[in-house]
Amino acid sequence: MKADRASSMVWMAVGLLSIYGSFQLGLGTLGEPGSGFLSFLAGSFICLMALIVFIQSFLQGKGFQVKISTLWKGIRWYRSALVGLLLLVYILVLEWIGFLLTTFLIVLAMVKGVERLSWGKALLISISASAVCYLVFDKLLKAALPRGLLGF
Amino acid sequence: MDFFSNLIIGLSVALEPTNLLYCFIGVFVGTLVGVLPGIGPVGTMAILLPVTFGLSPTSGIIMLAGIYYGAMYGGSTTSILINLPGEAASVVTTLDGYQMALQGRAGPALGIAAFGSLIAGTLGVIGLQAIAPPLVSVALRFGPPEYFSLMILGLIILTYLAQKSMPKALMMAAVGVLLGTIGLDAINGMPRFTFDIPEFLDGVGLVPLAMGLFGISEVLLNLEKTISREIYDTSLKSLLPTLKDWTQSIWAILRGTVVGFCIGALPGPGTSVSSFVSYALEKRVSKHPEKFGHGAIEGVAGPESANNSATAGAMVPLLTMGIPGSLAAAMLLGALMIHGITPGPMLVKQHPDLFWGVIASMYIGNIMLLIINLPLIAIWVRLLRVPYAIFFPMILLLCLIGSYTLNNSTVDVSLMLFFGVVGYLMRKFEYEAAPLVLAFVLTPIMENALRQSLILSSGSFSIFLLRPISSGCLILAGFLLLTSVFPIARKKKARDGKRAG
Amino acid sequence: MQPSRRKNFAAWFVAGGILACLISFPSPAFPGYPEQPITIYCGYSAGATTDLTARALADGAEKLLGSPVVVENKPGGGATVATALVASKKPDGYTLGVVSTGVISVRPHMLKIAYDPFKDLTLIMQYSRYIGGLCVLNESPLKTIDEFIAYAKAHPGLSYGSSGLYTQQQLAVELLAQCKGLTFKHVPFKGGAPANTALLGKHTDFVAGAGQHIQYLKQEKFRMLLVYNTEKRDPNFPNIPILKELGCQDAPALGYILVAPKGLPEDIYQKISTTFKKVTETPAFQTLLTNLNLPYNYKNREELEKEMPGQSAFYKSFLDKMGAKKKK
Repeated sequence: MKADRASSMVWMAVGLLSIYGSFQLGLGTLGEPGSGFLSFLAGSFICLMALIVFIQSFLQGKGFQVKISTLWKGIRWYRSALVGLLLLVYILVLEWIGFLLTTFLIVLAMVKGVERLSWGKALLISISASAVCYLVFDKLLKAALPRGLLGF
Repeated sequence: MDFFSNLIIGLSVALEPTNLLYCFIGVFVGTLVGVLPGIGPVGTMAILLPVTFGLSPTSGIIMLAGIYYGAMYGGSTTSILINLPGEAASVVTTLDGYQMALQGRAGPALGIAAFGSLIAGTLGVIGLQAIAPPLVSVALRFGPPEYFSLMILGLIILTYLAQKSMPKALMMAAVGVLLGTIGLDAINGMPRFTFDIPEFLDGVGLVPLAMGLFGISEVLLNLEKTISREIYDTSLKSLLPTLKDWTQSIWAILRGTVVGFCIGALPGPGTSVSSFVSYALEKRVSKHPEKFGHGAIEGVAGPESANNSATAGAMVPLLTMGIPGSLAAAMLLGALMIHGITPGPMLVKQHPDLFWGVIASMYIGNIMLLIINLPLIAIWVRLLRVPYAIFFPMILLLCLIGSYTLNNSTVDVSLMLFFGVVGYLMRKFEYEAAPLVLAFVLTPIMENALRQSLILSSGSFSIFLLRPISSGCLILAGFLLLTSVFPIARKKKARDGKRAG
Repeated sequence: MQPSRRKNFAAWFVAGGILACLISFPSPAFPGYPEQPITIYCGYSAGATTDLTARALADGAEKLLGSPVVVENKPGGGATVATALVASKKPDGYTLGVVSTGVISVRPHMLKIAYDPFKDLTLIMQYSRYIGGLCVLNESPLKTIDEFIAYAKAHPGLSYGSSGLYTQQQLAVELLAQCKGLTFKHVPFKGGAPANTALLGKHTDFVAGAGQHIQYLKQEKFRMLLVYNTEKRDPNFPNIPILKELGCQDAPALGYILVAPKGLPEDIYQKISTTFKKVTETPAFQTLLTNLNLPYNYKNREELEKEMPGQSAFYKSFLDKMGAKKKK
């Protein structure tokens, strides 16, 4: 499917959902707008624009016409997916095992798993990165970073 | 002349060794904080506040003020180098600054940002000294209706940021508006779109939003390709802006200064709005607007100057009437009050050495900042030579820490990751993030102003047209809207001609 | 750099980093509480008046306890986010919170909250309270509250700014209105500062001042006509009547309080309570309160626990009457 066609449909859904949500909040009147007034306007506008983009995708020469599959062809998309996943793990684990350890492990995973550097380099980078950040942020700037179960 | 005699009083205070020291500490920490995305000047000022308890009020305020305007110098660094805006004011700098970095011109970009900041900062302080009282009385005339019209004007100006498809850019602005409504409704106290997450009661954070949409998405995109790292020429000449850069930028800097100072003096909108108004202004008056978004140096010079003069502008209502126009100004106000000093017209009479001393220290501080920042440029540019394999975890780490330390909450980090993925998809499908972020910033101000105005007018919309400033803004907005629709139509035809051909 | 030199440099760097980390772990100053840094969660953003007092408390306590006391801002939901966070932590004395009594007596009626206001917290002390006053511009011809009431009767629909919806300041003005048969237009702002600015710019007719109005009194820009949220006249303004004197009900003042998670062991509680009480009694802290225009209003745990149910009931009934609906 053409990229613009698909994306406009997604945004159209977003717009419709927000219109629905706005009705739940109450639109109020023009003279006394309610909670949902602005989000209703925004959602309607999104739907309108999405419609325009959708229609444009049928007209040759206008709009972003590549197929969706081309967007990911021939590039190493799995690297970004892996990093995204690692970031998610970081968030889940951070307050559980503390900043130092989490950072060390995740950076290690990134550098070794995604970039495939040697163990020596990988350890070096992850240790120094965690240590430097810890020193600068936690000690110098006193921005309290989470301590995990082990107390650091 | 009064101006100079006051300046001399001020310099005699500011040049005292203690005050010089604290000025330096302030601007140095400010630069550091500005460079690091996420941690902002407000948090740092709060942390260093107890330090000021033991100091004389003058030294304390000099230091805190240094952090405030110093942060504006560093903020552009990550925007230019890695497309990561450290705060709202630096979002527009990513548009052209990062492009310049990709073209191997990170040095001149950083340089013009630094010099522009100096010029704007200094001129801003002169403005503070010279025209503060009349400016304040103008600023006070901005009530809810005026703010609403101003924000509408701002939203229209947003259309000038669109680089590619207009409907898509407008759609992103509407999404920004939508995101801006999330949180507790200020007028009737109902939570909107918060999905029962308590951290959303105060709305989506700007920093996680911007860091995700710009920084994280950039990393995710870059990981897919094999980056060819150009060997940047690190000789001194290429690190600084060339004469050509200067001639192109000087007017942008001056215009940005004026724009930033005026907007900064208005309580509320602040540095972020001033930077993007400056960008839109430059694009509008430029002889080659199509270059914007592809490395036009005016697109860096203008906004960076604007956000610096805006900090000086924010001091105007603060020092003359004790009105804090932004969170950082509120911090300064708190510090003043803790030391028993009431800002306002009495301030000059009762504490002339403090008042003029702080102002004089701002001149000195700006010069110190230039001296600190210029050599740093060489270091930053060298940093770009680090292989991306090592570099990208650093970027991600900075983002993670930056978003966490905002509120010590993983909710912000998750939000950033969410927007990182969204931003990645948006870039793939050619939707621009800048209009979204900027509309997001404007929306709360606009909506509250709208509803407050309607309460005042008991539901009548005429209030917006009957007041001179408000109607002036709306007329200007209408005019800009019309003139932007027609040139775009012409541009579209030209673009379609190119594509078909 | 040659590979071997690089490796050497790197090795030193890493070793230094590890060493630095180890050194910087806090070692206990003396046995017994406190052995670790104490965190105070402040329910307001950095720079807010409450935050300034919290930082002063932390600074003073650190000196007395010999252990770092750190303030972390967790703003949101009128300090309910911070309250919920404190309630969820272990009662080991290392987590405290600075919030307002509103999180117990007001907010639970308006929002869905993640804590039980009466069961999940250990109240330690109150050290100050929010003050408020109805102000007009200095140039206004209205010089007393009686003149104001007469004027308001003749001109219904005067507008006023407040620091937010359902704040005690707005409630006080509404109580005045009900009591004297007046109608006002309420314009909520985000915080006291924009409300004051609106009055300065003559966009509203008067303001329900929430504390920062005092500095405009000093600047002779505002004239205060009435003080509310209080039982007796403000010693700094002995000539200005209070709402109760007019024969009207008044909204009880909300206070700045220090809290901890429930179940705090008695000995740790005593140590915290006496330490922080001492801090509030120091001249430095008293000066800070004076400079911020806050009254020193100390209440201990027992007094607070007695007051809270009554305050909560008052706010509940008043909010119900005003039609505030709690979002489920």
